[in-house]
Formats: sequence, C-alpha cells, structure tokens
Amino acid sequence: MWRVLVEKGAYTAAMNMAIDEAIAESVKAGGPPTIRFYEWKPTAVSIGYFQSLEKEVDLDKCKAEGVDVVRRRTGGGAVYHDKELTYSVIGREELFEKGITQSYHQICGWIIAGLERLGLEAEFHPINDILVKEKKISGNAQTRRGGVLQQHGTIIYDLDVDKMFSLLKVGDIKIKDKVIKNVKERVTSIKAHGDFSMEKLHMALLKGMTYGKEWEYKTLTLQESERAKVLAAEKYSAKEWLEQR
Amino acid sequence: MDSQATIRPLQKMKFAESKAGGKVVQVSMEYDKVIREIKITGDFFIHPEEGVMHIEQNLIGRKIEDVMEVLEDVTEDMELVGITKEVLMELIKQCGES
Repeated sequence: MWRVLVEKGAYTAAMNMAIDEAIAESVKAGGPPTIRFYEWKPTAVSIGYFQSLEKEVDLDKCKAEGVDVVRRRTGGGAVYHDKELTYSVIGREELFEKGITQSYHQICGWIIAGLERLGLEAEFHPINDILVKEKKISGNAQTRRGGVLQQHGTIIYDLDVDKMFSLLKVGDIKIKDKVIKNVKERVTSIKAHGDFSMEKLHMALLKGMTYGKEWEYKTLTLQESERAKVLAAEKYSAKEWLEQR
Repeated sequence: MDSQATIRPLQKMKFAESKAGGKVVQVSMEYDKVIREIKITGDFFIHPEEGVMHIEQNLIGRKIEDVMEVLEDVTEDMELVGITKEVLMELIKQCGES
C-alpha cells in the first residue's frame, strides 16, 4: 500500500531535502513506499550532488535576496525553486524498473499522466526531463542506495528566467544573454498552457501518480519528522556538505 | 626532517568541460608529471554517488597514459549516466596537455 503524504508543506531547502532522506531511511527499514508533494519557503536554489557550488551559484546574490541554497543528494543540474510543485517518490527498488533510464521513464510516466489530466500533451525526454510541445516543463533526479530508490523532481508552474539567472552562474559571461534567450525558448511552465491553479495541478498530479495503485493519505511518522530535523540541521545546513565540491 | 620534499612549484589548475556524454562534465586538474589534484563536477549522475570520490582518489598520482585503465577498473561496479569513461579520458588529456 502506497502512502501519500497529506500535507503539501512548504519548507526550507534543508528541511525539504532532509524529509526526503528521512523517508528513504524509513522505507529501508520496512516503511511504506511514499509519494510526497512539496514547495519551498523561502525560495531556493538546489544544486546536484556532483556540481561545483562556486561554478553554479551566486552565493552573495542568494544571500542578499534571502534565497536558500542546498546541495541535493541526487545528481543533475542546478534548479531555482520558486513557483513550482515539487514531488518525491520513494520506495524499494523492486517496485521500479531496473534500468536507470527505464525507471525515470516509468516515474515520469506518472507525472505525464497527471499533466494529461490538465489537457497537456507531455512526453518523456531522456535522460531525465519531461517536455510539453518540445519545451522542458519538468526536471527529475534519482538516487538509489541501500535497496531504496528516491526520485524527486519539479514541475514548473510559472517561470522567471531573469530572476533564475540572477542567482545562477553562467559559465562564460559573454554568452550569458544567449544562454538566457536559449532557456526562454526551451523551457515552459504550466501557466503558459492555461489558467490552472496550483491546487488543480496538485490534484491532477496526485491522480496521475496514484493511478492503478492502492494508496492512502497519511502523515510523516513522528520518527521521520524528528529524523528530518536532525538531517536538516546536521547534514543539509552544514557548510561541509554544501561546499564539498 | 626534509621539508624540501613536499615543496613543489605552484601549478595552475587546468579546466576542461564537455557535454559529449549527454550531461555537462567538468574536470579541474593539476598535472605535473602525474595527476596531483583532480575534481570532477557537473550535472551528470553516478550511482552510487560516492563513486565520484573513488574515481578522483584513484587518479591521483597517475600518468595520463594509465588513466583509461584506472577508469575501467574503478567504474566497473558503478552506473554512469550522462558521463562516460571516454569523455573523462578526453578531458583529463586536455588538462594534462594544455
């Protein structure tokens, strides 16, 4: 039986990453596979596990704007989390396709089914993206450890590319304008395709993700909440974790 | 105690990047006859994630001509997504030559 977390909480970046990891730990210990939706408060930049903090993020700008910065435990690229819906899916590896790309395709398929409920024609674009009319609307990242697969991803609700690039660094300053123009052409949002409320998006995705599954609404266990607080404070807020590469 | 042994001229870190494996892969490397320091960064995926540290550690002290063998050996039990041994080899070569 799948557990869907009742609360669509908005947390700090460290707490969001910590909750995902605390759930993964409880799944490893025998807990139910879990689907979670969440938002970010304050807005945040997350970088992939392998990314260089210095090369990707304008830390001074983030600090000045009150934007959180966190390193994920999943690979992939830097994301500015503002007007978006974020999800995570956490379960034992046996529940998913064995191959990495195949399992991205599988879980992204649930998201795509959700987007289709809004009338959007979405498609999986390997390695880890979902496109609507050939533009990216969702980025996803997964990790597998200890027999547990965790995938989290973002569905862009509304997009401010200029704000995003005021916080993220672009390799060569001379090509910055070109990169921004390129992203504006290649990335889209839910808002660009209709006047859907965030709640409507949430419900559509919930339906897409739970279709054909036995599931129930539940909350985090007390143990998971407590563990998440510890991980947020000791791991995801720690300088050593953030600055490790 | 011979402190001289640890003193070596400051080498500039060399940098190379590529998207040929599907994702951005960046190599920052200091090379002086052998690899002195190396950092592999980017938006690729390696499973398990700590694998990147094993790759880096195993490359320290190696000559360019030995790199491919080390990469083959150390990545045997890892899954690389958006990054390949060939891309890494090419970037390391570029950093070693420039």
